Amino acid sequence: MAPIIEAENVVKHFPVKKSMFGKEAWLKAVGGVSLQVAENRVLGIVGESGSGKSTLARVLLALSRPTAGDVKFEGRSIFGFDRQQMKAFRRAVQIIFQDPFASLNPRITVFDTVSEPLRIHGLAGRGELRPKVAGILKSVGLGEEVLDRYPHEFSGGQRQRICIARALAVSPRLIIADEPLSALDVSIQAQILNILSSLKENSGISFIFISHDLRVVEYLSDEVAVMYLGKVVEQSGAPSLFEEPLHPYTAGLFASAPSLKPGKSRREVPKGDVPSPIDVPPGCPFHPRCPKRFSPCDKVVPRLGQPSGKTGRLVACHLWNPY
Amino acid sequence: MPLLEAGGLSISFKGRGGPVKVVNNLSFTIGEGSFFGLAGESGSGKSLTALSLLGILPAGASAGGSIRFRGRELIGLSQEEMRSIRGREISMVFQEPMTSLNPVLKIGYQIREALQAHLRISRKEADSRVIELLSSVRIPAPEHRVNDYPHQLSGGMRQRVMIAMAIACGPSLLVADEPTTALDVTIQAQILELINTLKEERNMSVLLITHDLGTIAEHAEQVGVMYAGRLVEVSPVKEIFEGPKHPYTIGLLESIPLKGRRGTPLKPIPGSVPPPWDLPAGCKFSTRCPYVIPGCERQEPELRQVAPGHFARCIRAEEMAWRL
Ligand SMILES: Nc1ncnc2c1ncn2[C@@H]1O[C@H](COP(=O)(O)OP(=O)(O)OP(=O)(O)O)[C@@H](O)[C@H]1O
Ligand SMILES: Nc1ncnc2c1ncn2[C@@H]1O[C@H](COP(=O)(O)OP(=O)(O)OP(=O)(O)O)[C@@H](O)[C@H]1O
Ligand code: SF4
Ligand SMILES: [Mg+2]
Ligand SMILES: [Mg+2]
Repeated sequence: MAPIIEAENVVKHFPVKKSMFGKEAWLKAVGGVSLQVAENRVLGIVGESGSGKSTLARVLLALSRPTAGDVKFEGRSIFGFDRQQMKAFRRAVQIIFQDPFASLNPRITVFDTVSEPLRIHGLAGRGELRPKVAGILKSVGLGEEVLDRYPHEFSGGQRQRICIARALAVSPRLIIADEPLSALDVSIQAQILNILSSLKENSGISFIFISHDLRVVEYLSDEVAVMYLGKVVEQSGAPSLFEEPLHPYTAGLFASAPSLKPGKSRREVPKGDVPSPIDVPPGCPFHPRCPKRFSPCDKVVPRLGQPSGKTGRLVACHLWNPY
Repeated sequence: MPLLEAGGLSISFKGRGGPVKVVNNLSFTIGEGSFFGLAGESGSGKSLTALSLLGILPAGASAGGSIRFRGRELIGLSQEEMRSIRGREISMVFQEPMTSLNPVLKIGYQIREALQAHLRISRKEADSRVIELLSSVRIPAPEHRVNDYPHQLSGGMRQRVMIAMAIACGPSLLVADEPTTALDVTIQAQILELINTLKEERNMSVLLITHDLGTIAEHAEQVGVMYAGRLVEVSPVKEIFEGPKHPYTIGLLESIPLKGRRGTPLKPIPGSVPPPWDLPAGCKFSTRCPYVIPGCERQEPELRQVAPGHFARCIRAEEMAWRL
């Protein structure tokens, strides 16, 4: 199936002042990422803080231009869009952010918040606006009584639902959700997760779901991309990834997430610190922390490829792909 | 005698219409060398409880009831008396290390200050203690690191420095309030491992506040769950994960998308926590509880023992048969 959105070798570098003498250096936030999302699929993106997930999302949304590489929406480069095409793209691709407190304007009502994109895109006449907004709010579990209230009157979970409703208003094809649960209580996260998963079932929308919570990613995603220092180190269908992580970083990430079994479990947590994206280690970016590294790892950059006998899986690790 | 014993601990803020009680009648004990994990809804009073143990409540807040540390009552102590306990006997690690470290001072200097605040030791001795402390929190090449400023360290290293400062004077209780929330996933696991190792090596007690029940299951020996300023369940770790007795705890556990729950709808707790000035009469969870019966709304249930060492604030606790 043709992908809805496709990143082709996206690179994003930021200039930073490295030393006191003003010598310039580059922070390599995204170092050549390729991925696709197909119709009605959920791609989960996981990785350490600073691994480039949000930066990649901003490029996919055309909020930021890549240093190199391209993003295609329905087969066409989004950076070559004219005004009209960009407007259609802005409608088709919506974003939900981590912080539902910061992403709602405190001075406008829920009705105005959710109806604004409808008005901008001319998707509803005056008379239909109110019933339409009420219908969208209902799909995220909010009743009509919220229409004329202001964001501060709501809890975090309710505000995140309002954000989801706003994203849904324009019937998007793709929603990019960047850590949409991490500001919420566990008990509220489950409410939002249920809404997202029923949208996936019933609306035909595709999702890119960014999260550092592996349980949540496993629950919701069809495909998962694991990022480390700006690169995708492993990508695979969710069930097989969680069944058998191939990349040592993925394995380490899984080992770092405690289970709910009381008592100690012996787990191999990756040692050492995450290096700075200004000084990405040569060879495999994970090699300084990798318990399995061997001779080529600090010299040769592993390519992201399919290991033999592992259909549908991609790994960037010398253990799996001959170099 | 337990190391720390809170009895009927309450914390109130001055509100426009009189005091607002945000922590209500908390009773728990932390044994010598034990690990107590405290979980609960955001705003349920976990941080304020932690701050009250160190006598550093924010302006406008006051604590009532009792906090006994090695038998000595802490509530009502003067600022000066409290200072001699804070950092020496009880110390604390916060969520965001950057806000508690001084950005313009070298980390070696800051740790030395923490030592010399309580211990009469020479500069030279303090310097060698600083190196020891940094290596005990697993900072590589500590003799070089002492000259670093906080911004030169990664988030994980800064948190290690905070822990080094907190354990500098050999406290018997370390309070850690969400110490890993701001850190990378794999670094979180390292820091918790470290806290646990230090606890074992030093026979120190730990009070860990976190909303990650997985972390609690792994490290804690004793668990407390808070809701709306109350402890609703307290129990040894095994019992609470294997047979939770309070509907709120059950709701928390049911909210987690576990392996095998993929594709099946989760069972979230309906609604959200009411604010402290708008709590229901009777059981504070009754407005959201799937097990509610008329008796629940009549009066607030006691935190009572429902199995050996296992306490729950629910009139139907004995009926709870939910399993993970
Ligand atoms: N505008 C910018 N200028 C300079 N550096 C930036 C900018 N935006 C992001 N970065 C850097 O790029 C790297 C990747 O950041 P990004 O926010 O994409 O990570 P992330 O994976 O989303 O992390 P988190 O899980 O913490 O949200 C980080 O080192 C960050 O500091
Ligand atoms: N300075 C303050 N003035 C007034 N109310 C406050 C103040 N600090 C905290 N509160 C209230 O006290 C209650 C308990 O707050 P506390 O910070 O202890 O919660 P918490 O359990 O630590 O939550 P979280 O998980 O979000 O950190 C909350 O309802 C909060 O709004
Ligand atoms: S006392 Fe009643 S309302 Fe409260 S938790 Fe128990 S069953 Fe629910
Ligand atoms: Mg991000
Ligand atoms: Mg808190």
